[in-house]
Amino acid sequence: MGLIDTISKFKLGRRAFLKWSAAVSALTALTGYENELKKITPAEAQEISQEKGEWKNAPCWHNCGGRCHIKALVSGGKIVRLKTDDTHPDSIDYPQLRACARGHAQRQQVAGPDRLKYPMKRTHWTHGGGDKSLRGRDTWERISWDEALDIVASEIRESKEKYGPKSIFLMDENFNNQGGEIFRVLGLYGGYMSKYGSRSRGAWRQAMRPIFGYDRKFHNQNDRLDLVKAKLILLWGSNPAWNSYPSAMNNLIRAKEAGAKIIAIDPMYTTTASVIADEYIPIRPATDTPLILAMAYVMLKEDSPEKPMIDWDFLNRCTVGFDSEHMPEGADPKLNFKDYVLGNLDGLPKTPEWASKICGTPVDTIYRLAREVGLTKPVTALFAWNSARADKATHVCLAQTTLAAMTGNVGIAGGAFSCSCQERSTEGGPALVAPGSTGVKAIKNPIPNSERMCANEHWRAILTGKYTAGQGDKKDLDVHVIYHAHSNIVSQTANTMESIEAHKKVDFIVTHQFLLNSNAMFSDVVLPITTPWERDGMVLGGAREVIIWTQKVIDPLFEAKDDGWIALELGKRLGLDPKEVEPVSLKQQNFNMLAGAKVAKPDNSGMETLLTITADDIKAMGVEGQPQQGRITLSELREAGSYQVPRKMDDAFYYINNKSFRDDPEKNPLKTRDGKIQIYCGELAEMVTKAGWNEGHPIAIYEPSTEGYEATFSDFEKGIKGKYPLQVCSVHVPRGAHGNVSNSLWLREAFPIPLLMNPADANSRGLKEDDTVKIFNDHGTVVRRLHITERVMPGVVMLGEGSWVQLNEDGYDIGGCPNVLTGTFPSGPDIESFVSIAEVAKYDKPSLPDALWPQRIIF
Amino acid sequence: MSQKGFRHDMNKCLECRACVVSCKDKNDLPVGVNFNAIEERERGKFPDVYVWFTLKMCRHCSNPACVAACPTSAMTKDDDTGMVYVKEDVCIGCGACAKSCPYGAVQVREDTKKAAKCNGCIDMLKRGELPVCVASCTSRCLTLADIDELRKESGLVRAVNDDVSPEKTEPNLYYKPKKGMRA
Repeated sequence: MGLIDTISKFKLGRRAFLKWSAAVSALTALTGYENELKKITPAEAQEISQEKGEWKNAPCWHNCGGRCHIKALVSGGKIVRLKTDDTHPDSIDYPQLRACARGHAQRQQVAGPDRLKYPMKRTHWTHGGGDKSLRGRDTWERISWDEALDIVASEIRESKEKYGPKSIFLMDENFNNQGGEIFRVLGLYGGYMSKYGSRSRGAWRQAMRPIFGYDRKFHNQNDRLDLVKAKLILLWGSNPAWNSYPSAMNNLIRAKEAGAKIIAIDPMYTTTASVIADEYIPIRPATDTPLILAMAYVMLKEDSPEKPMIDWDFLNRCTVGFDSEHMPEGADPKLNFKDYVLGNLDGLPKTPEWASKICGTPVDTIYRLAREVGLTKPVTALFAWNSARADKATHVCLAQTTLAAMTGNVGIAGGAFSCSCQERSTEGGPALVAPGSTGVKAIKNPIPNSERMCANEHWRAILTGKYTAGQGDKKDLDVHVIYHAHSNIVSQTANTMESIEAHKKVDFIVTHQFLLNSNAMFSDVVLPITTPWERDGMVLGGAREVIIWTQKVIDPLFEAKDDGWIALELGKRLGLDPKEVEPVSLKQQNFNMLAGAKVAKPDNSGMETLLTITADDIKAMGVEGQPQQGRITLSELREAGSYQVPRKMDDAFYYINNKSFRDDPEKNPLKTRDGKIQIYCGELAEMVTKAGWNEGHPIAIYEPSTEGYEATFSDFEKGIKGKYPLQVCSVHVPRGAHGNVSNSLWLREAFPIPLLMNPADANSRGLKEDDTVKIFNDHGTVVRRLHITERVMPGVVMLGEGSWVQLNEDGYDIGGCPNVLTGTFPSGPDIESFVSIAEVAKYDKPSLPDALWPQRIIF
Repeated sequence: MSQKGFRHDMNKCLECRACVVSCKDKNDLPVGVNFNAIEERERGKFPDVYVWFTLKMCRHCSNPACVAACPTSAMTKDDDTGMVYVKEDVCIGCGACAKSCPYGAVQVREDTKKAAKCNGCIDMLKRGELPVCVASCTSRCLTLADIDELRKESGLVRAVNDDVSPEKTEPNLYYKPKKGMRA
């Protein structure tokens, strides 16, 4: 098909195309963009035009995981503009850490008109809750800090005295490397109900320790400079072009240019796939395990000495549970992976024909993929955490590990099967530079860990008054106060509608926030906090090759205060010792992290001190400490804003994961039950069962998610669809970092978040491009504009995550929060399920483009 | 006159829009005023889909229609860099430039009633810095070069998708088309 023939299918028609520069300008006047914070005097304008002022290091702090470089030009106490990394010449070995669009929009988050300015109280809140049904849609009243703190302290005191410390549910998920202040306050005051669970990392967070002996963010990846040694790279649900900055895509582009074949496996033809993949293979959401099992089946059937696909030597030496000959002690030899795949266990061979019916990948494609992965050496497979962010998904971790072991892609150059996400997207290996500790000793919660509740059911637990404390153990719960220190979990946890109900049940909710995000919106008292740009510094680590230090960029805006100050004030009111509430000031914490920062020696023979700090430095910072010698001076770090370890191909920092284990597993055992890779993992099965929701399996037995593909049918065997025939796949989009930054109008304009739907599904529903549609199921209804695209698999709709829930008069979420559609389906050991099914229909009320939504401006 | 040109390697563009948002930040632009954009196009049928991303911005033409159309000489072509920019104090907001531009790269702002467009970050160029869109490009697909270099490089084109013929205004934005794009 020629270009001209397809012109009518373009996303933008000719008229719209000519208007790109003013895409939504017709309604610009309605947006109220002009910002009081940015009014400047003529003298300041003159200064700004000459770019006078000071460039201050001003990185993001979000949980996107990016560790990017941003500096802010500050003049007269105002942020004029930002720039990204220009601290050193750019090369692929030693790249500038360039920020993404979110980073460049950061000043709209910090200093936009929707910034919370004063402490405030919900108008109809009174002691006991007042009219609780108005939460989320009430008006706000400005109050003084004293009044706000008095209310919070007295509600905490009363809840504890009347109902006990477990009546206070504390969610404290603070800025990177900072926070925990309210944990301290409530810990000292007698305790609180807390949660555990691995929201973002799904089953990967807990399962890989018993299976493979590690719990680390870089999982099993090799060094980023090792990617060029892979012959074949699988991007399994991984879309770094939309969510991993600054360098993941560039590392992959380099591998492609070096000759690696790249195959993307995803429900969507992702942007990553469009840029680098040689082949795209469709798969339905949460059906990764059937595809892997079928690949294993093909390999088992076709492996031969002439065409070896399976690395038997590695399986025999380094794993247990693959076949009946290599079982761990005490295990039933029948319950092995090979017999399960061949169907000897349940009479059902896991053939490509069987898998295709579930995962939607064509049968011949599965055969071809299996042969290609089996016959190509080495293979790097990069998974995203999403693959196991579904209930009962521990089988994904077992299956992925098994495939890695079968193909021998463990501990070799160019070969690794791993998750690749957040600050460690494409980057394996121990940190080459890392901050020291803050010097703050945590206060232990007097309520023991065994009495915490799991994030996978916390809203339901608050509503029903029961939570799961283990196998056959349901405990009573009576929450009266919810304390949100940071985070945006009303929108970012599964089952947002149940979360809202839970928020309407309790007597009192307080939130620390700088924007009216979902948590703040459903609260009774909101305490306006400073952003890290207004604080006494921040030290960011977590990436392999860089640490970032920022000092105060601007003074606190309006009446915003640090969390630490709030903690001290609450402590005062609750009769706590301020030295215990804040044993180490924020300034001192940052100094401690800097003084303790270590960097790998040039020959990688160990770590050495990063910073030279003089007595004058210590005096100037107003902290306590001892002078020390290191690689660079404190003022050099201040000037650059970061320290990045220079890299080059085949340098001393080149790293292959698990190499020593592979070479000699007896001498270098993994931290698993018997030191080997647990293809049969009894420990994981026990963990799952003991958690109290479902029965664990020691091998990769596929179990459908409660609201997975199978649930889109009323009769799966007969192929009869049910009332919610579509799978909803929520995806990270470039607009926000989880619930962060999405308030920026620039980002809303650059990245509208429509519902993405295949033309086949749109046509069968009579839906047209840009229609306003409702996406609905038994949990809730989301309203979005529709974008019809061939990039999405039929039967699947994609919805970007991160938007703040906003209910309209019909009770529908016009904000676009995918968790309005997810349910509460807890499973062990601590998995929260984010998969859902729904139907889509036209909605008869108009909706504004995202960039024209009114901002949440209170005062 | 010397002339700088932009080069967009469509093989590497990730539609990350760091160029778009860094431009909004540098120029403090409200919603509805954009000096650049990334346009997404697709063809084919699932799963055999082809997708490409095209940078839209002022081409800083050698023979700019907007300069020719401007009745007050507010639209100016800079001698040192070849960048085309608006002298706001001279602009009367008549919109002749916007109508004349075959690339839709000029608009009259509703708030200021003045013509508005990319000025190639001429202030930064003159200080020896790169335009923000280039300096912020995460995949290094957008670069700036002397026009002679770009004219010499094989495989570059000045018109993609439904662009008008480059003979009309001699644009100085060069595209390296994505592999397979014209198939």
